[in-house]
Amino acid sequence: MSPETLKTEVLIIGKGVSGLILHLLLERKGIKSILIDKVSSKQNLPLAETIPPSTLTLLEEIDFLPLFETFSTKTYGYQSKWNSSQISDENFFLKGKYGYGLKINKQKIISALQQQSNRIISVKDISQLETKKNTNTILIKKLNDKITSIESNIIVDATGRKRHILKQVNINSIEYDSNLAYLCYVPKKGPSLKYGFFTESFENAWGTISDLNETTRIVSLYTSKENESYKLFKDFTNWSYLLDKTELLKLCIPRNGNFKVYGKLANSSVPSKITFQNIISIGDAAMSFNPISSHGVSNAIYTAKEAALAIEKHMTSNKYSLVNYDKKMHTIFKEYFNQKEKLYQL
Amino acid sequence: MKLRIYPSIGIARLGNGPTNKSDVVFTPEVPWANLYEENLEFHTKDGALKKQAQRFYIYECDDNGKPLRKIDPASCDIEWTVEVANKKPFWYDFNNSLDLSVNTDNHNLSPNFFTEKIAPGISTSRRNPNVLNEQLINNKDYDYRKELVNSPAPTTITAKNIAPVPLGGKFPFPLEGQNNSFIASAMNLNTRDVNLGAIEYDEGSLIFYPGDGISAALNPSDLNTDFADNSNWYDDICDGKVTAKVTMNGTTYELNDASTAAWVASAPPDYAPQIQPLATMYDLICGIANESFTTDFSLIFPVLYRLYRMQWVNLSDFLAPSFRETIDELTPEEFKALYNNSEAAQPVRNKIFQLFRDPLYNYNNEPIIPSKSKTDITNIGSGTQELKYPFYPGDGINYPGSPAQWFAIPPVLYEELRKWRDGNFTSLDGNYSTMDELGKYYQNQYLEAAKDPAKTALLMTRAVLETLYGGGFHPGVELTWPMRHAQMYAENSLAYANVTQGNSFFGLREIRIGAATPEEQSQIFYNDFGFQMNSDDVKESISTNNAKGWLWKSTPGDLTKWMGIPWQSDAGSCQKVFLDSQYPIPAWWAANLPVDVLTEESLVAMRNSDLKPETIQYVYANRLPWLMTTDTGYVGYHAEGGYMNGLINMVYKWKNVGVVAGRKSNVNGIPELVYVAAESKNVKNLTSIFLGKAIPAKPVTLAPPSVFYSNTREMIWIPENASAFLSSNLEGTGNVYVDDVFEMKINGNIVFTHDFSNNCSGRITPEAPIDITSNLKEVANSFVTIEVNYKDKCGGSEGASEFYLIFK
Repeated sequence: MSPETLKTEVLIIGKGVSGLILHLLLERKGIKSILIDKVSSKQNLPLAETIPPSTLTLLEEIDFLPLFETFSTKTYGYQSKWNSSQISDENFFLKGKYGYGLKINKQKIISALQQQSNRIISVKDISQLETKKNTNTILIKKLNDKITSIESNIIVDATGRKRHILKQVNINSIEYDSNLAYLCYVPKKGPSLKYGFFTESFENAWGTISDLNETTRIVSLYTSKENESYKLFKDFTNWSYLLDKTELLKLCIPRNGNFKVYGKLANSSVPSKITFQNIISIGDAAMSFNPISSHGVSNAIYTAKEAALAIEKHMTSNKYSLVNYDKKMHTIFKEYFNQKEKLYQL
Repeated sequence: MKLRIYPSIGIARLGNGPTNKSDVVFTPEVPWANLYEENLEFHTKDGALKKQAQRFYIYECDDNGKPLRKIDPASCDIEWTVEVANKKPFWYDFNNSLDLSVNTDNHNLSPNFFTEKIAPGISTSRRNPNVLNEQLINNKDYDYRKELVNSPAPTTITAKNIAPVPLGGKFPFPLEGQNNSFIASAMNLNTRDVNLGAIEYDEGSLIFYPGDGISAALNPSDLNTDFADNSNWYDDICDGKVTAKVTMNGTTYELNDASTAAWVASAPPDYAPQIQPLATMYDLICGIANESFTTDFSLIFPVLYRLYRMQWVNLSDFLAPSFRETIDELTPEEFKALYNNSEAAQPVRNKIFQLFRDPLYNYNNEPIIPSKSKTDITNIGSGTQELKYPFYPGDGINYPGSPAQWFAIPPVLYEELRKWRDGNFTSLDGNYSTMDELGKYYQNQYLEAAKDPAKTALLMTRAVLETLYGGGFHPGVELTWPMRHAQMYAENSLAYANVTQGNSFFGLREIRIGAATPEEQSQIFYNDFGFQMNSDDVKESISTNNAKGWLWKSTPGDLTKWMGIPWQSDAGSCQKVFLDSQYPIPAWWAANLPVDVLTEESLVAMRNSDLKPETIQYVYANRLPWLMTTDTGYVGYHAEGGYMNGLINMVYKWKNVGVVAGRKSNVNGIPELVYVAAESKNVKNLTSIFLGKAIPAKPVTLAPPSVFYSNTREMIWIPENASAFLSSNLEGTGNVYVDDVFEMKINGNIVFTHDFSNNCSGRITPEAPIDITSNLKEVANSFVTIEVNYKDKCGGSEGASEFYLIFK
């Protein structure tokens, strides 16, 4: 018996911010899309990611600002102590139209976005991607173990840094650094932060403190594999030693208790091809940034918006629109990367 | 290389909190930086009023003395020395400002003070007049009056001092070689320890801590019944010189002359640190210079904004007619006219300009402020001339009917307003629709300027001077009338014409007190004018090479000696001033000593989501007297009231009265950021975690049982050794209810449920904050996920209060 077959114009893989936004934008344009999401048992930790004032204009443009604001708190800037004895203060006032940024509750935003669509399929597994000139076919294993085949003109890789789809068609990733992030949730201690966010650099590394809620802060330390002592970062009991020379970070580390440290990849990377044939990547799959730039969510929103435009043009038989999207994203990544290099002369 | 100390003038403010750097607030180092803070705490966790400490730094300067950068303390050895004194009991009574009938070219004072004699200086006699030089009595040579100066020896500290070092001090002060004071012995007393503060070496910088704010009389029964002059009294205010010795690469730099040393003064607490005085000491110092300024809107906006923000500390500035009302009534188009130099915008600018009192004081019939003299002729019918802003008393307050009974903004500000009215200023680009948007733009200019290490030094001095009242001087809050004279300063020169490009703010100035040299100090430290001092003495002292010129060579104690003793008297007395007309009511120095305040408790009350919008407005407009508990003596049954009680009670109540601080309102219909007064008893050390929102009562839609509201909080830390409560407000005091059942899960397990319906009795019983400490015991010391559910059990209606989890 041949599997059930679904047909759609666009198939989006990945239920993150970029995938969901693209899905909803296409729906508004009357372009049929299905979003599939591989159910994972892995718990998503709240990260209190920030989006800067400039991204609010973007959200307003695509009419998602009220939704984001509902599940966010406003943030008015950040402070940093970056290779300097001075603490500098970045105030969002006068930054664009909005004098503030948003500290988002990503889980709540994702579930609110999800509620706006009924074309999301949760799957156990994805297998067998078959690419042809005009139609791609993908086999999925639904939650009830039924195998279904989906045919789609365009496939969107929104699977984050994993680049699940691009990998299947042998597109490799170009890694620009070997940065690692170590996250730890700690009870609030030490000075209260003016903007709820503070960054400080120290030897071959840097750290951030971000207020998550009324009781809890996230302390994240970033270093690179080139740092000989990077392994020390994995263990919280080493943190007071590692942060000994910092001015503020060390004050936020509880003296007693051993808190779990979560390691994460934090490097900048880009696939060698952001679009390939009828496959287009968005969000972290299109380009992933080092977390300090706080570009992750903004990038998800921006690439989803651009991809929606490119797909719309593609459907009205503009042959180059996907290629142009690829070029534009590569240019942006290069620009970002150059800026980052300047900043990171640690 | 030249080194200088910054800020060149520092201010520390009294508090009864501890002398250590983690329990004090520091004097701002960037002007305007703290205006919109919403979490500042001015009380310690124990409810003590925090001291305000002043940091001093050493800067490397260019050959012209212009600061370049802070020196690296690792590259040198620094020895700091501080010498302070309190001369108030030694000096003269305060009757009024003695410069008021002196003819000078001083641009801070209207010539009418001299030519029209609108408010002549009143001669004054000594405080503690019974204490004399022994020569007058029996030809022996012991000057008892010198004991009235509390003048501890200079204190020196270096990197080796790892804790604050007290400056010491006694009253009466035993002179060199004496164990006790002769005054004290004569009164059968011992001299009292009156410590004037402490200093600490902190990574190369100096921290100056003020005293504890203790004032008393040598005779315990002597009450402080006068606002400024009370014999037998002492307080722990002081001022003096901050010097340093720096050894760098084998060279030693002595920073001890008027051009390199700094001056520090202690002052009463600033009870509204985020509200700026209407006219500041910085304005007066700019006025002294008699320079011309290129006008952009940054020279105009501050005075408008300061008057606008007085609404938080004085009812007359909140109600109508008021400057606030005038500004808030502007249409968006009219508002833009404020910062636009166009001809079309002129009518609006002119309307605003006309509101201000001309400091020339060419008025003849503003309302009269009666004196306390009992001759009973009322002045009804006076005040036919329109009352101008600001609505505050001025230097001529002693003379009913004098136009100078009213305060006028300093001439330098008024002249800039005039240019502004006429369109002779640079417009501000951009689009602003509220005063706070403009305020934040200008705040940002200071924050930007502070990124330039070279500007930080002068910004520090300015940040200090912007917090000091620049009039009316009767005598004032921190320092008084001598500060408006050029003779006071060794240097007063413009270093930067602009704070940032296009935003001048009158520029940044190098300002140094005219400190006496050590030789001069040894000769003039105990100088006075004999039994009486009057305006002529001041006049002569100002003329060149006059023998009385010593008056302007500052030695420790000379800046603060003019102020009232004890300081609490004046701080407690200068509140509202009652006229024959009863609305609106003028008041004194509300930006530092508030008059009417919105209390923190009112804010809490407004957060009650059951209130009707108009009730919120009533509560918002309900401003209470700042000194309510002081004026009346105490809270409770048969409270006494009155002016004299205010003076007397302030001596011990000063540390408990409210401090006005910015807080996020979280209330619809009132500003997002409000400035509320919190008394020391309001200090709470608690953590409030939002659990669920309030649901107004409505008919149920689903068949019971159902969950009609659910919320999840992730990664909440449950502390050990803390009590946990459920409350409907952030303060942990609000009753909670759900119609019908509240359920709380932690990590998926139900830890607490409560049925408020009494088993569907038809009646919901709200509960006082519920103690759930024991329910959380098992998860103490861990991060948890909390889920709350509001459940309908009985049908009919559903609803709930807000829910917070409180740890205390």
